[in-house]
Amino acid sequence: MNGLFNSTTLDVILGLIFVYLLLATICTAINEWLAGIFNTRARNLASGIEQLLDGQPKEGANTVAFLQQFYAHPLISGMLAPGKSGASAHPSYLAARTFATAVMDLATPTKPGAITFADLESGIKSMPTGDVRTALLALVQNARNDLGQAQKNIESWFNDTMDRASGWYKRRTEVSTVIIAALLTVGANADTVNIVRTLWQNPTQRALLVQKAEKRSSEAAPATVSVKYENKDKPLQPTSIREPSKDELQALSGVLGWHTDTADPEASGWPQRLLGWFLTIVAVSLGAPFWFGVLNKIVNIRNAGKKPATGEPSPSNGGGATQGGAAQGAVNAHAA
Amino acid sequence: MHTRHKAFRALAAWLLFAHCAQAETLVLSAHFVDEFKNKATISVKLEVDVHPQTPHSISSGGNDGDIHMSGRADEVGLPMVAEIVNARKEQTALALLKATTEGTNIPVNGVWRIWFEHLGKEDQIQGNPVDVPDTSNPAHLFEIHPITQFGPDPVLDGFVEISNYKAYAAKVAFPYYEKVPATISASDGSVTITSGEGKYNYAEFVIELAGAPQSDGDDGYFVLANVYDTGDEEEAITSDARRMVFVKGTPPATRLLTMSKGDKMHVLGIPRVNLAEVSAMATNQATDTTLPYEMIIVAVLPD
Repeated sequence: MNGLFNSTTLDVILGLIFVYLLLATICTAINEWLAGIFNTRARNLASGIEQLLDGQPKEGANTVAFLQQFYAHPLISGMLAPGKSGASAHPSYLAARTFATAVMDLATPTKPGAITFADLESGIKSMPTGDVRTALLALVQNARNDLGQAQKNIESWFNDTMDRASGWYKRRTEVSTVIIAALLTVGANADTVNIVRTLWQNPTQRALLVQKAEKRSSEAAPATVSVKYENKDKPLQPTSIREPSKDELQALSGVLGWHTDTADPEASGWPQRLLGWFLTIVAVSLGAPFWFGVLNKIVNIRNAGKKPATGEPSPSNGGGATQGGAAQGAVNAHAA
Repeated sequence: MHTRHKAFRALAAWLLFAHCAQAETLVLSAHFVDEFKNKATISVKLEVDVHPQTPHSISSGGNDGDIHMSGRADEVGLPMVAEIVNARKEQTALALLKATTEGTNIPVNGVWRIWFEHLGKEDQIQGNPVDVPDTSNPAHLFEIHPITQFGPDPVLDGFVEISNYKAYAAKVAFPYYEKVPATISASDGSVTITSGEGKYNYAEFVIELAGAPQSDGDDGYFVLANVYDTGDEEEAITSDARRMVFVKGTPPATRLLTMSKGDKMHVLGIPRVNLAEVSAMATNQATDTTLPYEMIIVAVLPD
């Protein structure tokens, strides 16, 4: 192969993508770890519920009584972690049916036990003027005197808000990903320009990273492979990805880090270093699945361009490297 | 101390041997995996070899009310059996089976099921000649279980609670499902799974939908769901949501279509290998992992 995609160029690209993939994988792991530490999902759910229920004053007083009553309801209080308070006690997930049942029960305090549609409607109408009352009235008006439909409408109200809350969570995660990527990039001095230069100038370092990249593309290490469903609404699309191994992280030591030569700003200049960091931050923010897919494609391109070894069947006779590469590509397509 | 070391090493060797003795390798064609990894069922023309005249009795464990037959099908190319669940509810199919003689070809549709339950002594390689079985329950890793159509008749009435049957508790079955060791690899045109023995055919558990159901484009639905032990719905007993398989036209599927994310259903299910996850994991280097599984939902149980 000549021109842009000669072997050295392709190997430098492959090495760079491998670095991006490992950094993005670490970034994702840190993000998940922080989400667990700070109960981000629980806080997000609490914000969504607050947005739904905090606009309802108690009769005669301008308080958020309905929200407090909601959390005091046995259906909800039973889900709070015992001995904890605030976000650490809040559940990460609440079923729409549980939400609707608790809200309907709170709206009909004088009707313990089974209720009718009329009970629910009159209970809501007897609530003091407020956002929750207005919203619930609108929801039951569309229920055609059917209690079951009224409950479904309240569940949909909750689900719609939770969908928006998922959007908030995603945006927050994107922001935190960029911040983590920035800290990781600067901390590890992951300067794209310097990485490219090192890979271009040092064939040994380049070969090491290419070897690791090809290995990552073709194999799954025993203890670290996992299968996940990125979107729970798509049960037909599991994906697998594995965490970086110590071996892989060690391979990065030649291109990352604050070595004596790279720590000296005079060696490369701050403008160039800032540009290199910026490129790395943008790349790492794209996420591990993206770079895993790109890595597989580049490995396949690289393998397709290789000359068959002596004695190896050529693609034209139905076997050999190209066929194997295509099969591997198919397998990796599942993983990506 | 020296004696203790020897005893420990002997124990470790015994455990390793015991594990190896109970493992078996299944080699599937990659085409088969791709075709069925996201399908609930399979249709075959089954050459029936051996079958009993009456279903299993009903109490617990293997006394589950099923009736099974051994047979061979070109579409499968593996030693196999096919089973009618809750067979006393399916008198038409039972009558047809009783009248079936050895070697009769019958169109059968049902849920494909790979599970390392009835291990043999040899690897099972799809497409190799299959010996004619001399029993209704030969060594097999592949089943059509439950059957949904036997000959001309649909077999869907049995997808209800099996009266007087005590299924395995979720807190017993699922911790086992979660830890069945397996080695998975792929090569050009094939996918290889080596696994230890699978147990606990019928488990009773509660599912909470974690996402929306998705049709397989044919006669099944898949949905991801959190799994809880019956009577203890505080904490899920699996590490993540697991995939559930439903057959269109059955009571569980009918109920599923009325449910939303977060809704719960008390069910009876049987495990099978999740080929979609196997496919996602399989590369040309062997991967040691736990056996990916999914649950076939065969009945809705009272809440």
